[in-house]
Amino acid sequence: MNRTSRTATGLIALALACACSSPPGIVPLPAADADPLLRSCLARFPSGSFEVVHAIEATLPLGNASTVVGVSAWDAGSRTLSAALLAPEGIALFEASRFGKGDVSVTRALPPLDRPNFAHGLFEDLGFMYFAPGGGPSGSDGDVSAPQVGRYGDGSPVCRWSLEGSVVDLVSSGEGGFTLSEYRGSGEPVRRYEAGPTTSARGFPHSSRFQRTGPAGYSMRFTLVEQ
Amino acid sequence: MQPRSFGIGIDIGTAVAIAVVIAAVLPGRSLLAAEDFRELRQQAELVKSIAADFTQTKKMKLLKKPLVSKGRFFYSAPEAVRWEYRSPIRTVSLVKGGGVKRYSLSAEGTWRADSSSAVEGMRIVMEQITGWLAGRFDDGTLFVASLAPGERPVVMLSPRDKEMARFISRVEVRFSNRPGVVEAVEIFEGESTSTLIEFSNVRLNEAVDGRLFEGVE
Repeated sequence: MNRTSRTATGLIALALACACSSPPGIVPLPAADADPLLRSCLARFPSGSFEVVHAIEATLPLGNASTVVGVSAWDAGSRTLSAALLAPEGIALFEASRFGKGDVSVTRALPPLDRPNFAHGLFEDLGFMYFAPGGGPSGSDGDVSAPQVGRYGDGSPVCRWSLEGSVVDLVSSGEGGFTLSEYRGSGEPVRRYEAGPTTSARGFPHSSRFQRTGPAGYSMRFTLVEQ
Repeated sequence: MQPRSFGIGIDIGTAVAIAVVIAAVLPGRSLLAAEDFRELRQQAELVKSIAADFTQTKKMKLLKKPLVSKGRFFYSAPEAVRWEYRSPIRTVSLVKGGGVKRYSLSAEGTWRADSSSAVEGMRIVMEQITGWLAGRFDDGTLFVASLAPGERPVVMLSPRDKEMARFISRVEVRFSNRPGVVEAVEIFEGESTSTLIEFSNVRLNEAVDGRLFEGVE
């Protein structure tokens, strides 16, 4: 490799590194504009208790794919979450609950859903979808600071929660739709949840998609069945 | 974080459920009369096809109200099965030539094949299904069958294997007054979790379009 090539390679590497050096930048909004946007962001995580049934199309590493029925029940106030995965034929494959920030209590797990990391990972992902980022239902109590409100460089309004080692951005997209994105401090995307744009009468997205990035990444497409 | 896979559990769940339904829809009169499994085997040979509709009611503590699914079932001797859910989500399981495939209708409206990382688990269950289709209830590897006689008799299937018993405690096959017709099958998965499949419009030995076992459409 000659000197010019090495320099070009180095510049490309530097550019890539810079591209991932931090999460997307945001420009803070003045308070008068920030308050309505903050309320709109927090409204994505309604308080109360809920139960929903989804058809879940899971696309897994190595191209594996499966469809299951997912049942989720949660209470935003206590951040209690229960979940079950059923085969379409009715057999319960997995069932577990978590109270607040406690451990996941698994009551049923067929192989390979009995792997140690599965329950923890599933509940982390469901909590990401259903609960406001951070410690409490508003996302502003506990050990987490209140979300920062601003705009991306392209003008999209965003609410940003700064967590330990990561940030979570909520961007509204249309009438009822929104996107939640989590980035590591280095700017590397971790996971993303796109909801809507259409919602049910009770405000649940008819369709949504979760994606975890990385070599072991996977995605889940949720279609609302019952609420 | 380790990669996660839904494969094995789903396949076993699917296969067991298919096996139970096949067992349920097989000629009940033969079962009821059969103290002798050889007779049952001979009677099973008389069944060339089955077609039925079904309603499935899933109950579990987590569900405030039961989850109701509807579908239809086809069997053609010696080993072709189509088990189709039409609501609330659409899936089709096809059994033919010793192989099993399941297709799901995606949110985009296209059928996609469910892949499996557990072909071996499915193969074991398929051996059980093939045995039932041939009327061999007494040498099944997964379930032990026993009969509770009466006006509306019930056949109970208990898992032989402890691992299987962890997720299915027992299966009850309930017969109707009509000879040879199963009314319902209920799978008990624990104290508060069960799956009830009720059959209707059961037709035996009527012509079944062979294309039903070839693909989803």
